Order: sequence, then C-alpha cells, then structure tokens
Amino acid sequence: MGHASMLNRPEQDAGKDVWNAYLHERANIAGDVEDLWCHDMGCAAWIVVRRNTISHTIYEAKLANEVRDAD
Amino acid sequence: MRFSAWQIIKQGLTGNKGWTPHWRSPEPKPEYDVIIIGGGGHGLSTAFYLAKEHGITNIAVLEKGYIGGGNVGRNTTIVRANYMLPGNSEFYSHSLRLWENMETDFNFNAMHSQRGIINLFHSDGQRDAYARRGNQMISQGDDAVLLDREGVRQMLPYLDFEQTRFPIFGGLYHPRGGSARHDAVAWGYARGADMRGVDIIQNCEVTGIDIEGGIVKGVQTSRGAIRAKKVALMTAGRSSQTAAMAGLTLPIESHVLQAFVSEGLKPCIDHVVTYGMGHFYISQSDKGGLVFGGDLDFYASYAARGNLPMAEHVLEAGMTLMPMIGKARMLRSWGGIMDMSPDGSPIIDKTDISGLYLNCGWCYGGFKAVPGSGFSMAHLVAKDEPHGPAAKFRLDRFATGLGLMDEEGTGAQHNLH
Ligand SMILES: Cc1cc2nc3c(=O)[nH]c(=O)nc-3n(C[C@H](O)[C@H](O)[C@H](O)COP(=O)(O)OP(=O)(O)OC[C@H]3O[C@@H](n4cnc5c(N)ncnc54)[C@H](O)[C@@H]3O)c2cc1C
Ligand SMILES: [Zn+2]
Repeated sequence: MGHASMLNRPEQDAGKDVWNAYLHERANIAGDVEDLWCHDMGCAAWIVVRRNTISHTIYEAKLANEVRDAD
Repeated sequence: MRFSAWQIIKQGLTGNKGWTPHWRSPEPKPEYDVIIIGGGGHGLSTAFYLAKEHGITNIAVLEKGYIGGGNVGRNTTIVRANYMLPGNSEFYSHSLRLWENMETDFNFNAMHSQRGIINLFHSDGQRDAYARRGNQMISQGDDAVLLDREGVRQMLPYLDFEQTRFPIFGGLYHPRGGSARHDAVAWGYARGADMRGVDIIQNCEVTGIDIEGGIVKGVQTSRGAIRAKKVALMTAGRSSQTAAMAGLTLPIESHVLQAFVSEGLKPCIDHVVTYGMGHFYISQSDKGGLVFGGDLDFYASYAARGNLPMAEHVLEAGMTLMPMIGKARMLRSWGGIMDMSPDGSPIIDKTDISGLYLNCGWCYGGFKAVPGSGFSMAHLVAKDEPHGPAAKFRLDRFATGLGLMDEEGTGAQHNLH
C-alpha cells in the first residue's frame, strides 16, 4: 500500500509542505525499500515488508504496529 | 530518404540495396541548446516538435539503452480520447488530432488504425456514467456512441453476454479510438527529428545534472559531460531517479504493469474491447496476436516483470468475457514500469530550477499521449510557458489541492489508480 514512511503521520498543524511530503512525495527507490502491505485475502494484518524493488527479493516482514511502536 | 510508393517500387526493382539507416549515430557534441533525457516516445516527440514547430534543432536526445526499449515499446498501444475531466479532456483530444496527421508529418508508417474502442458496461449505474462520459467527449469535439446490448452484440458477437457475474448491458463506442504499432511511433519520431538535425545518442546514460546558482548548466553522462542551456527530464518509469539528480523529490511511485500476447491468429477481434469490471482489455495486432492486459500488480517495482496472481486474474477475466480465447495459446508476457502520480494524471511543468523541465506521471496511459505530450512539452521548453491543452498538468496541484484531475474519482492518493 505504499512506503512505510506512512506510519510516521505528521502532527495536524505540521503545515502544508510536511503534509504534501507525507501524502504525495515518495523517495521511490530502485533497490531496498520498506513498504506497507495488508494481508488482504488472509488475516487482514498490516505488515512492514523489507524487500528489493528490482529483484523482488523479500528480506523480512514485521507487524506494522510493532514497527510503529518501536520508534 | 523520403518514403513513398515510388521508393518501394524503385527499391524492389534494384534489389532493395538503396535503403539507408533511419537515423545517424552521432558522437555527443560538447554543448546543446536543449538536452532531452530519455529516448522514449515522449522524449523523441518533444525533439521532433521542437525542431518542426519552433525551429530549435541543436538538440540531443540522450537514451541510456536503445530507442524504443522502454515503455514506448512495451505498451498495448491503445490510442483514444475518451477522458472526461477538464485538463485531460482537451489534452487527449488534441493528442488524437495529432495522431491523425502524424504519419504524414514524420513520413513513416506507424500503422495507426482507428478501428474503434468499445468500453463495456454491466449495470444501469455504469450506463449512466458512460452516457455522461460520452456527452463530455462529444462536447469536446470527439466522437462517442452509446450502444445497447444488441448494438454491442452486432459488433462483438463472440462475447458471453449472459455471463452470470457481469452480464453485458451495452458499451460506449469511440469510433476514432484504436491502436498503432508502438515501435514504429518511436522510430518515426526519431527519424523525423534526426532529419531535422537532432542528435539521437543511444547507450548514453545520464548520471548527474549540473546546476549552478539555481540554473541548469548541463548533464554528466556515461559518455562524458555535456553542457546545455535547457534540460528536459522525460524518463517515464525512472522519473524519480533522474529528478533526484537535480535534488527533486517527485509525487511519483513506480509500479509494474503486465501485458500478454497470444500466438498469431487469423483476424477475429476487429476492435479494442475493454472490460473494466473484470480489469481486462484486448485487441488484435496486425501480426495476428491477441494483445491483452489488465491492472497494475499494485506494489512498487522496477523489475519490468510481474507476478503470477495478476496473470491469473487477467486470464480469468478474459475467459469470462470471451470464452473463445481459451483456444488460443499464450506466446509471452512482459512488464513495464509506470510512473504513477497520486491523481492518475500527468505532469508537464517547469521546476524551481531555471532551465529544467519535467514531464512524467503518465501512469498506464502515456502511449496515446506521445504526440500531444511532445507538442506541449516542446512549447513549454521553447517559450518557457505552458501550452494551452496541457496547461493544467501542474506539479504543484498536489501541494495546493487545486486542479487535481482524478479521472476515476477514487481520491488523489498513491495506490488508488
Ligand atoms: C504493459 C503496458 C501497457 C500499456 N498500455 C498502454 C496503452 O494501451 N495505451 C497508452 O496510452 N499507454 C499505455 N501504456 C503506458 C505507456 O507505455 C507509457 O506511459 C509511455 O510509454 C511512457 O512514456 P515514454 O514512451 O516516453 O517512456 P519510455 O519509453 O519508458 O521512455 C523513457 C526512456 O528514458 C530512458 N532513461 C531512463 N533513465 C535514463 C537515464 N538516466 N539516462 C538516459 N536515459 C534514461 C529509458 O531507458 C527509456 O527509454 C502501457 C504501458 C505498459 C508497460
Ligand atoms: Zn496474515
């Protein structure tokens, strides 16, 4: 569902530029990324997957709430 | 050499020994007026119209691979002007009119075939939505005909009309829509640009963009540094990487879209047919292959190949709509990298860096846009101001929220288009 930076939601009054960056702008890396997936047809869990966008290799998957609460 | 029926006869009688290469392979010059990064459809058409419409010919198109090796040679070639929202509507209408003269313009056969497109609908609500879209198309000056079920049956008798999942209620017919030979579009623009003096430099990867005091000065490439007064970023699926060389972060995610082709068959599908409910569309190429596809794989990717779940989904949808294709054998499938924008519409704009121009966000619909995008981009680069039909494709619309063009009405966010 998109970059795992989505977990770091800005404060409501953070301003236009911060919100634009959060909602729209993407590093869009060709290589290793962390992004958010939803186990749609399964248990509906949100997970953060560390993977490679060129090779499609998956290195690691963690529950999204654990990643968020760890920060 | 100009192509003509006379040339074919003459070459045929002289052993076809007189055909010459379609474009030169020049060494890069130290400096150009305009450098275009990316030799896809959009980069090549921009170079062509800069030369033809604005008399600017000291141009280099820098392509890291070969001309036509990107998405311009990977797409399923649907050409249409059936958009609804202001901004998109006038742009694609203009682009389709350019298509209709393009082959004469660049003197090359791109096999543009206006065989008509039929978008199927499957409920009363969808019929209303298509009636509205058709009216928008007509008021834009394009053509649209609302067909009922019998009207569709006469044109496409091979569909399964009574399928239990999505019975067919009718279709929106766009007679001027159709397809073209994608490689030939790239070659035609390349040839037309080269004939007017543009340097097309293949195997030349841009690795950096030189900026001094907020003004673009040139680029670094795998074949050395090249200076330029103006630089245009036109790298489709790789937009974020080239923009990052100029310190820009774009509102773009790169996604993979797959396509499929069957073995060559005798003519059986005369139009382009889209089955939105099943995420499936199909046409038959002039070589006889059934060319079809569906939706994105829906995860960011630069792999230029997709995964099997989407392949299975597309083939199931095809079998539901037209069971006859089950008899055809699949030849191959491939993927291309789409620069997806948050609202599903493109960007043709200046950047904050003087002399640096941006053209991206074509999503899965940039092939039909090749002439229009090149024409409008050439205007922007030459005159430093947006061109009428593309004036709404602004980069800042996501930051301001003004002028978003969300054709599907799903929201201006990534992963919704
Ligand atoms: C499977 C599929 C089906 C599609 N179907 C349709 C359709 O039916 N109708 C439609 O309208 N559109 C369709 N599209 C979309 C369309 O193909 C694209 O929107 C369009 O081709 C993108 O523009 P382009 O031709 O300029 O891109 P490209 O051909 O990808 O050109 C970009 C070029 O930039 C080069 N480049 C990248 N980085 C660098 C660098 N650093 N230095 C130098 N060069 C660089 C690349 O090598 C590439 O050649 C489809 C796409 C796919 C993949
Ligand atoms: Zn699960």
